[in-house]
Amino acid sequence: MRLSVESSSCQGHNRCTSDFPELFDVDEELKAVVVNEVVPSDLEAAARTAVRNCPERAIHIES
Amino acid sequence: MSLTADEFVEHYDFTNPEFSKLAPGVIFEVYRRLRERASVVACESGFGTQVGSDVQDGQGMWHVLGYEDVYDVLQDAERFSSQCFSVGGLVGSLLALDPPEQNRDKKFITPYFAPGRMRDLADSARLATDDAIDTFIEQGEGDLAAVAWRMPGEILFKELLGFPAEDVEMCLQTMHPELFGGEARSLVFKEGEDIQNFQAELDAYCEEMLKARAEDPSDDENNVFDHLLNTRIGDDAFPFDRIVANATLLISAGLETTSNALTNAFVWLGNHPEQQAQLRENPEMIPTAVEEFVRFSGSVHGLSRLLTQDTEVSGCPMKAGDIVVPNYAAANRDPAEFENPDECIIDRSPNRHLGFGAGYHRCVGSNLARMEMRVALEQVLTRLPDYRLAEDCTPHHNMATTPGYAHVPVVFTQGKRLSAGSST
Repeated sequence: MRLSVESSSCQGHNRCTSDFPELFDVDEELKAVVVNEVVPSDLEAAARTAVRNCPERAIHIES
Repeated sequence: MSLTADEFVEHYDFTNPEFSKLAPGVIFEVYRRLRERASVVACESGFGTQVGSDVQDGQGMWHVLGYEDVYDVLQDAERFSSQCFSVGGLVGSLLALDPPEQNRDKKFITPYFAPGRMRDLADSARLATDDAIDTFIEQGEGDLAAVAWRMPGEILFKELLGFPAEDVEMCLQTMHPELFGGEARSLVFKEGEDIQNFQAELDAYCEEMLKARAEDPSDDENNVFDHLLNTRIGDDAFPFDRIVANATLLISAGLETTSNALTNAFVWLGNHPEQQAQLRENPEMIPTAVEEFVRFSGSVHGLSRLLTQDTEVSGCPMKAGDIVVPNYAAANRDPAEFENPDECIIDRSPNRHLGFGAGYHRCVGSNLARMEMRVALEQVLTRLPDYRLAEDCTPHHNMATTPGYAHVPVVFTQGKRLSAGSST
């Protein structure tokens, strides 16, 4: 599973970085960035929740 | 004359003060019945809405109730402009600008509300909450308003604005006389009327505070306004009137909303002892519960946009110059997005609510609000091991936000003060 954040859509709600710091970090513009593009299998469910919780729909998954 | 849900469904007039006096469950019933007919509803009155938009006679006003449509409106600053406030204390603030200016100004303010900074403020929030609880913990009875209506204001003023915490009460009294037994200020303006509204007074207060600060500036940029007063954009200072407008905005937006949401959470947990116990035993569930309390209680009904071109939303034709209100509270109950939307489910996941908005104008203070709600719930649940509501709580009324509670009287097994000093 590959994880990415579309920076132009990210508005810095930071729900993803607060809920899943193992998957997301905050950049200098206070936008979310992925810690690692490749998601370990034990974090796949967390990644899907993050996608589903983003009010801007800025998080994307590619299996 | 008090109107019923049926009457509001037939003649939806959000600007009628009677609408905000409906009980919360009834307000959401009106939204549900209207949304079942159509995602967009015409508002009967074409006059101004909350926060002082300057609406002309005959102008159309629309409320968007469906989640997907609200999301679309919030993403499109070109069609749905925020420059709909030509008068009042919010002109020039982040709320009233469109990109690219809004993005430019926002960059100076958002770092003060960054999640890391909010974590650093949690200790202050906890201390303020404990001080408030100390005022009644040994009596076995008290009013959780002492937490809900004080802590958020103290933290906002002291830690973020650099304003004296003693001024919080005066600001609340100015904006919300209904909290102190008075009548809520009207937020509806007719063309030609003098705009007497809380923003003029709040704006005057902010201007006075900031003028004094500008004369004696601090290099220690611990708060937003010392930073803005020192900021340059190219060769120019950040415009002073915009600094004042942003102060008015942060106070308008940052006091009542969090406090209201907290009172709603306290009352709901008071009425649901099982879930109260569950959160007490599993405090790691509190952040998820906070998201649900924000979704469920609704907070802000909606904030105006000005349509810049003829368009349509969900098949409803609208004209350039119309006011369009994305109604977050209604969207947060849309069954197309949320299963069992009218149930408060404290472990709801996923929960992609619009309680803090979305798009360019998403709430800058959302992480502050989240931190404050989490800390307040942690301390109240820990120190009041079994609280119940002492009496039925009556919501207070305000047009811009969904109802909250001025008082939350509770009884509980008494405990000990944490600090020896007394709090006022």
